[in-house]
Amino acid sequence: MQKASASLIVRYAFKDGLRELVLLPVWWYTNGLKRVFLFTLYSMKWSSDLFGLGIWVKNLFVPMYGETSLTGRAISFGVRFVMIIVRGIGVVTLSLLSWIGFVIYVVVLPLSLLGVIINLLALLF
Amino acid sequence: MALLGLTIKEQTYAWLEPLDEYSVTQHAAKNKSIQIVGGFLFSVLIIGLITSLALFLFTDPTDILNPRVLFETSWRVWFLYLTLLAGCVLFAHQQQLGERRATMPVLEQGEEIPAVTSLTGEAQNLADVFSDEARAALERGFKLATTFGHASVSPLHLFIGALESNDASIVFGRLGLTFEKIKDPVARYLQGRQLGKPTVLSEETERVLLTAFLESVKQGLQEVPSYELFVASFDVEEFLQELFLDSGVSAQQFHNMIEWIRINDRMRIRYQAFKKAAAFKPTGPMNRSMTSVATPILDQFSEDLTTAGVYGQLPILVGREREIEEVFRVIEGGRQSAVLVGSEGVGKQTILAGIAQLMVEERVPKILEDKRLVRLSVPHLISGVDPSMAQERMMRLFYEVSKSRNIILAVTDLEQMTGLSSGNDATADLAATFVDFLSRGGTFAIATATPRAYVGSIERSVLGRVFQKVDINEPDETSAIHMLQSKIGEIEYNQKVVFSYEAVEKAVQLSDRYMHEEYLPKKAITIAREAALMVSKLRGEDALVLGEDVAQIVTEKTGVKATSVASEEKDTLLNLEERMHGRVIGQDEAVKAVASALRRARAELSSQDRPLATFLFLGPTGVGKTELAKTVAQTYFGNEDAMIRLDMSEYQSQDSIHRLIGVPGSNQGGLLTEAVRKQPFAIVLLDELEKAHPEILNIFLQVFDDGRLTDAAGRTIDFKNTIIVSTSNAGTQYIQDAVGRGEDLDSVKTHLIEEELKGTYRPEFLNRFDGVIVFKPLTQDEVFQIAGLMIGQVAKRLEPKGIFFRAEPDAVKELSVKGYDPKFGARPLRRVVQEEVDNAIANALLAGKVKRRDTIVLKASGTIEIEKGKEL
Repeated sequence: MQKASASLIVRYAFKDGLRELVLLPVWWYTNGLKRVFLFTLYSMKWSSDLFGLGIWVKNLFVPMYGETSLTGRAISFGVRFVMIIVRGIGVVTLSLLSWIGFVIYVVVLPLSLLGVIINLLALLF
Repeated sequence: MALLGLTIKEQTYAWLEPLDEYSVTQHAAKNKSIQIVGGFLFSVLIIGLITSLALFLFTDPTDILNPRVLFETSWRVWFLYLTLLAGCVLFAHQQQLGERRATMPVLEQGEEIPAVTSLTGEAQNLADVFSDEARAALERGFKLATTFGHASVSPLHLFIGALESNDASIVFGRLGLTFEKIKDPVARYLQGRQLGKPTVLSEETERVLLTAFLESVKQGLQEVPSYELFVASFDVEEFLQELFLDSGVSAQQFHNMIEWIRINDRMRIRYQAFKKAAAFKPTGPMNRSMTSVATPILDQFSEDLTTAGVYGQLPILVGREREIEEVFRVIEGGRQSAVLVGSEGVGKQTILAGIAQLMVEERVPKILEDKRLVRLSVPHLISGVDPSMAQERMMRLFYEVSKSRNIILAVTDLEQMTGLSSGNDATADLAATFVDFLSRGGTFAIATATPRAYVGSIERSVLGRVFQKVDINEPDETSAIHMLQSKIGEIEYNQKVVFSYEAVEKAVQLSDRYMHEEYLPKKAITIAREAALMVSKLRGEDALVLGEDVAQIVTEKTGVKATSVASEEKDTLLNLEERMHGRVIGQDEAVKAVASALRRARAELSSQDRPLATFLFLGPTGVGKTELAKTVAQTYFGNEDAMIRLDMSEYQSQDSIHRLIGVPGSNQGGLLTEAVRKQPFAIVLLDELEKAHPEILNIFLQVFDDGRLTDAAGRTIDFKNTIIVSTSNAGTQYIQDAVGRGEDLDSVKTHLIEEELKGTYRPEFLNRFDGVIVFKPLTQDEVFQIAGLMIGQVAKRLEPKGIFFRAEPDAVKELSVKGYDPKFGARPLRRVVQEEVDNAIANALLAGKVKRRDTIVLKASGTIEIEKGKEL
């Protein structure tokens, strides 16, 4: 690859670094937000896959362990119903964690920025 | 300014990035600055973190867990916020780096492949989907062009620019090339390029960039890698193709090598996706929906392929998409079971493994989702019990399967289910039970069988009703090379060696050519494994496995000379006539014709689809026809025993055809086919061919034409590595008369073929021979020389006894006169030597007149004299 002079590199580093810093809020609440939002949705799907919630709901009326007798079916339905609730709680918990992460993302930038500025002003003046 | 473009899904792509000194320098500076900014942010993050932690530790460490501390005003909190902010900036920086300005388009299956056209209107910049390495390759190519002062960046510049990438060094290494090898011609070629300033991107190179992009889209890649530039520039640069050919690498070989890199790339991507998906697949008998039951009996007699897949124990399947699709269609569409029918080694088990892996990833039709593929072991099931108990076991096992509802059965060698018997009275057919279970909708099965087993035991049995056939053909050479390439990584890892491309190619080509009892790709994989083991033992770790190593293994396995001609062998081949004349006296034309044919065969100039050579030796008895055949066996095959000799006078009736190729229905080969099957690298001598039945000659018509023959057991016997010599006495009287009249051999031959042999052989039969060679009757002088050879043989026989023997020239002359008969050639001479020489020596030996170190001298008039040797 072509060798670039040190001054050009430094100039770019400053220019790009500064531009990134200035445009940070814009990126944070546009592309960045979209990415984190999609990631949160993916996490929800992942947690649903992890607990197999869809499969359990789909098989709500299918007897467990091949027990096709009436009692077997009744017990299966009961167990599946409970399991769907338990697994549902698992999915909701994990999803909630993902959404907490999302909310943190939304507030962390202004929070840290304000924290830095307010503290600095208060400490210096 | 870009001239060319490529439109995929209504989006046009073109190379819009300026390529000049300024832009290239800027791009390099930008890349460096990105690294610097990232490094700086990371440093701030770490320093901030350490400082705030230290400040907390020095004041009140418990405050770290107190959220209220965030609202206090202090340096430690300021540093905490600063760290947080630096983290945000670094996160955004890294994310933006990963954000491509464009994503690669996806070509749907069956979608028309677009063509490169002139650019009109708006376009997406190709540079945005190029990998860093690919962009660097282009910039290096540009740098090279500017250094030489060339007017444009040509594909050759691009190719050289791509040479520094990792993939290029793998390609060069495996192809056995070095940059040193091509450096000088490339430099010379570059000097002839048009000069000019400023250096711009040529239209041809633009086309190369677009082709590389299109190829990457076809491969389903996320970006354009440097090796696609490498191959796209190679394809348009004829100079490069010529240069590689000079180094022994054809365009096909180069492409196969690139395909190897693509295969590895695809396997890596697939493995990552597979690992992700496999995390959700249960490994026990229980499925995710818990509808299944424990299957203790099934577990005893089976192996769970999906579980093996989750644990990464199954081989990765390359190709065979059509066959898998067909299996799915059979199961999904017809709700039937499928039987994969293919010869041993074509990859039926690997296809089963491939299906199991797709089931792990749940990339299967709905009917197969959340199910497991379980391979039933029929030998286990029937071992140690009589057939009726085996049947009972099977019923209990099927009960578990139908109750569990999540099991797809895999049965290898389906024919094992039929004709089970034990003792005299207990017989049972598991097939009927199995079919009954499947047809009642118990589950589906995917079975395997060889074509012979399918025709013999399945097609017309009850199994044929529920199993739909899916043909698994032997892959062609290129596909087999790709399949083997996918296995090489594992072999290299196990044996700590590195495979050259040539070794991979030879493993496929030579096994295909010489090992007809087995099938691709298995036989090539076996050869590659053995070659790797041999090389690692002989040359140690990290040694390169070469084509010659593979050829050596093939030679050892088959007895066929697969290695290239070594230097000493070259001398032998070039002096074949001389060596042959050591045993065959006279017959110059015959010796010359045979020697030339052998040289052609060894240099692989003769057709690969026929025997190495086919000759018809015509001439009177005792003139050296059989001797020449033996000489060929000795000089070409290295051993006089490498000869399959058939006396065709024993095949005078039409029925005798069965002795040659086997009795139909016997499942056994015949004398000829079995002999060639066991010894495929040999001379086949058909003595007195004219005496064979005309129908038998028809069989040889096919052998001469295609180099193969099918025996009664249905096996195809390969004659391509044999030399077929037929001898015949037909037309002897004419030869003797014509040679006696002094006619030249060519006209004798022409007359023989056109007139004399008409009644014996059909013209199309004679035409099939590579050479019809006429042996002329021996002259008195030639018989004298033969007598000398025979005397030499006598001396050789006495050597082990420590006794020497020589004959005076007059004695030899006398023998040759006595033994000369123009009708019978040298035959009477042998009798004369036996009677006059061997008998006299035997008498002397028995009388105890000769001791060790003595010399027996044969004198004229047949007397022998003994010269006493030195006393010890």
